[in-house]
Amino acid sequence: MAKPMRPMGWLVLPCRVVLGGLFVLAGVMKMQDLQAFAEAIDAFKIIPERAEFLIPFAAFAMPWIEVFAGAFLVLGLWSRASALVISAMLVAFIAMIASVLIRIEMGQPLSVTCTCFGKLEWPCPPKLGMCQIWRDVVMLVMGAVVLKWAPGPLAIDRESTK
Amino acid sequence: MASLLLYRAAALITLGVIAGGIHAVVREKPVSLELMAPAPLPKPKGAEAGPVGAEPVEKPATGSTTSGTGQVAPVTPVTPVTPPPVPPVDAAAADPLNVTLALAKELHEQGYVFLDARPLNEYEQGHIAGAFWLNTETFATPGGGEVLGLLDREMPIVVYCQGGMCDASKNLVRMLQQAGYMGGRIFHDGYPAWEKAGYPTAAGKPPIGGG
Repeated sequence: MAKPMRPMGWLVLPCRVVLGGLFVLAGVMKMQDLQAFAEAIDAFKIIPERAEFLIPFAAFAMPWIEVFAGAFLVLGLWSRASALVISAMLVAFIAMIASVLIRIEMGQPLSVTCTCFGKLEWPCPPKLGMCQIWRDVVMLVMGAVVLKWAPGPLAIDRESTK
Repeated sequence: MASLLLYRAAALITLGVIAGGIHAVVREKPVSLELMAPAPLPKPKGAEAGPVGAEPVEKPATGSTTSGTGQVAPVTPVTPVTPPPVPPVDAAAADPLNVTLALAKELHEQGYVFLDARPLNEYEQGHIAGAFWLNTETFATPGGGEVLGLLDREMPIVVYCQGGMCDASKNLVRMLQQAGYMGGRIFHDGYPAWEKAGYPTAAGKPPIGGG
């Protein structure tokens, strides 16, 4: 027998679909130009020079993790785990963007484009700024909603518990 | 329950890493952060026998010379010639992609194109005399096209930005290479080192490509 829907359960569905859909889109768009994405990771200057060989690996793996986590979230399969992965990525993105903005403020000549959605760069301009942080915070809130009240309606997780 | 959540999250990440690994193997074009080495610098006019900055050096005479008749003629001892300083181009041969301050100065004197990859306001405040303004954001714009129209695809192009951790010149050289301009070189110390050395600078709007 299916578990009864929690009071906030209906909020989970739009969060799952929008957040998961955005991550699938972000992953697919990054795959269109992996070279540009690798260069964008490099420009963040987060990875030390002696570990630069990791950047191409990250450039290949990250879009696929986004696609899988996003697709699982939309389908409601392993909803909480998908939301956890996506939320962890969002926290990392926010920290990385904030570190770039702080370093620019301190006078470091960094020139970083987000490449978060590949060439689409939606809804923020390509150049890093507070817009990307706010966008990620909104998505992080959606991730938190899914983590708290998953799986919500129309989820494979829910069907499998019947 | 929490451990199941973490196992599933780890499984998802592993799935993505495996898929990314397969993608890397099947993809024909590798992803690389390395820049291609540019073609060697052309020798300047009048110095075909040696690298830039190298003067012809006569070997010091030692002891005596023999004339055509077989007689030994005494010669005045000659002070050994001090070897010339290492010409900048030798350094360029060792690291063809990066340009030192000394070599940048030499290339500037020879009239090679300099590109300033910094933001427009920094260019307007001060730039290397004669440098054009082009960066990764303006590369594909009509203004960027104007600057690209002036460039020769094989000739050396010196690209600089703010020095230090500035990546703008590296990124611009990469874009130039992708567009077929293979002479791009990075003046890593950038404008601050040039200005500090007291070399020629200018200020004001870019002559072309300024939007």
